[in-house]
Amino acid sequence: MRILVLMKAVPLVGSERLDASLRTERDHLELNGADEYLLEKALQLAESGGGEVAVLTVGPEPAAEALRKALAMGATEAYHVIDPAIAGSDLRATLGVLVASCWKVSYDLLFAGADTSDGQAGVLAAALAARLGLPYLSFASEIEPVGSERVRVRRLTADGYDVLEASVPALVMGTQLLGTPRYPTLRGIMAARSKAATRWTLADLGVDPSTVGGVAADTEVVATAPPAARAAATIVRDTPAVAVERIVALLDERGIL
Amino acid sequence: MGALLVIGEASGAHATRLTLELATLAVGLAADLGATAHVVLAGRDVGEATTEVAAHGPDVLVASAGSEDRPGASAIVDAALAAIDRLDPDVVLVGATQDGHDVAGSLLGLTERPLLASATAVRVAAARLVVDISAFGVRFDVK
Repeated sequence: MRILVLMKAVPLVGSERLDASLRTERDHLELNGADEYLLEKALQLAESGGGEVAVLTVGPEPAAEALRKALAMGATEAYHVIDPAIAGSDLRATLGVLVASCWKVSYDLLFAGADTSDGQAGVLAAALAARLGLPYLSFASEIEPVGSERVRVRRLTADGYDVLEASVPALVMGTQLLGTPRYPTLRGIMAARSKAATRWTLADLGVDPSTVGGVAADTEVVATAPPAARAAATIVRDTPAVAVERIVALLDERGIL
Repeated sequence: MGALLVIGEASGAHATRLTLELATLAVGLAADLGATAHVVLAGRDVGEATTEVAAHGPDVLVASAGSEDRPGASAIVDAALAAIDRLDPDVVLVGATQDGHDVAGSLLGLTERPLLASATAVRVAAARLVVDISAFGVRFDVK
């Protein structure tokens, strides 16, 4: 099978900053952690059953470094959508770029992580499946090809898991339960130096620049602030009868009753 | 503003707690905006859930869906699309559950409505909705 893994390059976790226009700075980027689990699973499937693993990202120049890591881990191909007009895109515009990108690549399975460390939206995979008309299997804790025509996943639920199956091509959104991502080996790092990512601009994708970026965004950040400080909490853990007495006493102490 | 729509979820015969919280939120926002609040529930047998949600004030739409106690996200999406087609709401509220993420994403893909994800608060300011989104230790106010 040929697996295309969607990977986002995110600011180094813990060093995220906003610029003057309230956009997340993207000077130094790394692979989004949640996406690495999908890449690991894709590599394992290719190693055990044959096939190829390609990765695709949309992002500025520093995203190339993140793609190099994916290549060093074992991906055979990388695609980098890079265009200054994309900066500041909202979810809808980003979706349009991803849809156009996926039309240009062949795949049997499309993998995506559950969310990203910078945006934390966790909705683009479902949106992409809807727009591409693909079966969508989400929150996968296990992914298993069934022959060459179908894929089976365990989908996490609140009370266990469901087993879902779909024909390929399909989009699978996976979780961290898929397995710990490998570290790139020295050999992999050396090999990645000779693999160049295919670069596409918006023109290559046939995307109108006026439909993306901050200018086209339907949503707008109007202010930022640190989270409000939380007051100290008193947690009452007791039998109902005792808990009621304690809560009544606490309310009484504060003059509420 | 005309209508606010909540995409509700039922677990077994009951509405989920988050659905009731969103129904309450929608009713409050609708009052501030001079709009109406609606909740759509999809499932095999959501009669009791409908009563629970209606007790919080919104109009409740019911979509008979699936044969399982817990309808899949695709059944909820179908019900949501039908409700959106019927009400043409100005705002759609979806809970940030697993199914909610799938539903919100699908609606983004299928309707191309702007989407503000992972809101921690929703309020009215100058007759517009503003949501708080928390990411990497910063609270964003987004409209």
